[in-house]
Amino acid sequence: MPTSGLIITLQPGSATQADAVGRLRARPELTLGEVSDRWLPVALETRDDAESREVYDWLMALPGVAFVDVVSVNFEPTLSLQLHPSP
Amino acid sequence: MNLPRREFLRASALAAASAVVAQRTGAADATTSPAPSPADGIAWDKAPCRFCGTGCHVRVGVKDGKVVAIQGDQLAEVNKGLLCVKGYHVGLALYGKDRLTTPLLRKNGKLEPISWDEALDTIAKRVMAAPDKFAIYGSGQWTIPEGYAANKLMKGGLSNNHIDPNARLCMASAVTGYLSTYGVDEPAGCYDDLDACDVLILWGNNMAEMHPVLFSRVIDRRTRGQKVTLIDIGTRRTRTTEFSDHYLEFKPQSDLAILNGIAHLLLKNGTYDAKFVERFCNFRQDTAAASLLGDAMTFDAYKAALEPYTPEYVEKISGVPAEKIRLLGELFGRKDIRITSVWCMGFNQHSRGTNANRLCHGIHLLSGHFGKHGDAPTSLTGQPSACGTAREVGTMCHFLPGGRLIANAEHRAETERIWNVPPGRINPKMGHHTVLLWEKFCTPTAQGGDISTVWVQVTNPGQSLPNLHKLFKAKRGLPDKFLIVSEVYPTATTELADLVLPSAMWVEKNGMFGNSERRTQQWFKMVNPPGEARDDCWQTIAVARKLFELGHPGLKDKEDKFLFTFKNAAGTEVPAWDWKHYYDVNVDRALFEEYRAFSRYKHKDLAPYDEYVKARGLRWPVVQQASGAWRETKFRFAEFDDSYVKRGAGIQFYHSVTKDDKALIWFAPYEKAAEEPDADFPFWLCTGRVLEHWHTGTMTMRIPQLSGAMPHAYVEMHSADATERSIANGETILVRTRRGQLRLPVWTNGRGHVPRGSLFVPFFDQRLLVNDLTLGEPDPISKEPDYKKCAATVVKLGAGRLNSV
Repeated sequence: MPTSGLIITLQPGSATQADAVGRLRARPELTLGEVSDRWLPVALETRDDAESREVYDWLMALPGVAFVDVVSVNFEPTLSLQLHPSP
Repeated sequence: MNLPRREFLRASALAAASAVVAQRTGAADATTSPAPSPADGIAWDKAPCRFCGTGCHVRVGVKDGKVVAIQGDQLAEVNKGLLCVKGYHVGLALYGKDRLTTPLLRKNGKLEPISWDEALDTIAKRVMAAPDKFAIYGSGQWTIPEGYAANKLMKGGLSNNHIDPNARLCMASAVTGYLSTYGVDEPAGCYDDLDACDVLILWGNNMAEMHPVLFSRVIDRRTRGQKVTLIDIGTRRTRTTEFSDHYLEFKPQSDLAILNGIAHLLLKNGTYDAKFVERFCNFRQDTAAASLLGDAMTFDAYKAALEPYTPEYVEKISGVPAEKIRLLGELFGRKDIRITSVWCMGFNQHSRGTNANRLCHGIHLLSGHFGKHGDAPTSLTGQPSACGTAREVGTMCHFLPGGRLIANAEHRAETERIWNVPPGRINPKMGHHTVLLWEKFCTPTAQGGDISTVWVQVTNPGQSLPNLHKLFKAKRGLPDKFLIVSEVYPTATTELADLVLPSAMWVEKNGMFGNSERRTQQWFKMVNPPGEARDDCWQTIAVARKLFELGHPGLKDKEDKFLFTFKNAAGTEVPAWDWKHYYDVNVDRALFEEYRAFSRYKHKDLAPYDEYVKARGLRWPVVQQASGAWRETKFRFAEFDDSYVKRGAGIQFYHSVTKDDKALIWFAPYEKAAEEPDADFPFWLCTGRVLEHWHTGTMTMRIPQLSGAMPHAYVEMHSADATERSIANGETILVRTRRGQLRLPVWTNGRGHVPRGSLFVPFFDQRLLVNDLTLGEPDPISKEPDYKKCAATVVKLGAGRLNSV
């Protein structure tokens, strides 16, 4: 299960922000931190990469979200499937 | 995975994101990274990203000898904790299933495993048999020590200047643009300009997808409520266009006319900066043949040359409406705003790339939009060390380290002194530049093909050269030609290789890069390479040692010592050519400290190696202060920041071509492209990159997250052109030029949108080699090929008109 750390930049306007945060909170894959200024730190945990992409696209299209930045990815859980054989 | 571990990873991810937010809001100290939790089990260290020239720093998490996690490094000024989609998957580039793990020699047409000793012997014997017919082809992905070692082996050891990097295909025209304008290479400004400009002009540069972290930096300013006007000047709509205030779509090659149109308006409206020009500028043009330094011209002659470039004339050439040309002219004429221009391959991979670069510098100088943060023309590079290695180390066929020239006797003598080799060791004749080198390699020896052995390191010419049938594939059937390839994965280049050497990559070795903004970066080896893969730098030194043992005189210095002699802290010589001992000494540190001696001549001063160990890169010139501290430079030639500028001068171009501390404003006319659409080939064909893949895709196509998102190449086509030919979106068609043909699926509604009469094909896909089709017309000065313009046609499959080319 890939786990990523994201920063969501929210559009200005308290009503828009509150609505966007509410919809984000409803997604079980997301763990939300504290909104600070216009930025919301988020942890994203998904089944696989396809779901990560799906959620990312959903975030980018969500009203009230101006931008999504990724700051970390832990691929340790999936790496064992991709490693070259040990020498 | 058990629940506590999952919870832990989730908490770590949230903590990393929260730390970046805290830094952005000023709630946290920007000088400390979040402390790793002891329960993490992951060891973290810093490294620049392996991919593009932006130079983002990542935190690399290692567990059980493998890279398992990546974070944006919040201590890094370049990316401030952010990464792009490629960057946060960079760790997986190491773990493709088909990593090369043993040397391979072609025997009876098949690559067979051999020992390293046999591989080194094979190379050394080829070189000894014909040292002057040997060439090294490297890249802007060489680390600084790797490029320095290869350069020293060739120029200081073999007296052979046939060494050139793929940077010739990438930023050679930026180099000639800087050299012919300021007398010294590389930008005056830096990324800080993106934080200070009022207007950002993207000249043929899709920054949102090619340098996304830098673009994010600009967009972030907007979300803070700052006004930044984005102007996208391009030949196709991209994601960058979506964020832009103005999109100026021009006909290919006509950027030259647009640039002249701006200069015309500055002069006509009297809005040029007369004081700046008088104090700091001279004028130049090429009168007879194209040349680096051209001929002097007067201001009046310059003005007369620009007279025809009225907005209406420029509109006729470029297709950009006259009022948009006026908009640009008015913006450059304003003194109350700061303008930053950025460009990458749009200007550089251009048959008049040097002129495009010169003209862009020219409008900034003419208007005085230079010398303040936010007011600068700045080229971006595509590779992580195109600047650090190809340009600064001087791995090009006409350069010596630190901006010196092969053709200059004093420069050769000084280089020989630093290398401690006998006078006259360096050959005064320039080597073959990239296109010529490959042309000679692919030409039968009896017909003048004077290169018989090429050693490729850290690049993939079998995919990235233009006109591949002529410049690469013609090697087939030439039995006396021998291709050596150091690589990490099988590629289009290894397909024709006679000898393949498995290489370590990125954090499997020590390294140093130099990014687009003059920032030199360092990292340490963190994990072991797979199998018998070894460092490229070691490979160079090991071959040098073999040549030394075989008695090649060039591998000895003036004291008859081996050219690559290393000592440990105790002063004992370490046989670094023996892999068992390669890491007994820090070879990178030793080579870098030697190379540093070259850096002062062009005021590109580098700090000691250990300063880079502590930093997330430092921008040269890095000058030692009275306190002993090392200070980097953000803006060159400007008194407010550059300590080499004389007090009171304000601006000083201290490497001026005209030796009077002035820069050159060039005039260059609009000229048609070498090949333009006609009745038989009615489309323009442009090539480039996509967000998910880096260059030829050898690394990113091994990362499932990236290859899954963008699995194959395609051809972008305007929907009206497709409809006219009864071609449906997604249908496979044939794209043909005078050099080759390729079957590609059509994309009419993709993320990029070409205008009518244009096609765009990305070059990342090894199975769909668009460079079979490209012309590669070189710029006459830089010798950089044009990948952005040639004439093509499309054929609906099944139409019964297919002929093989």
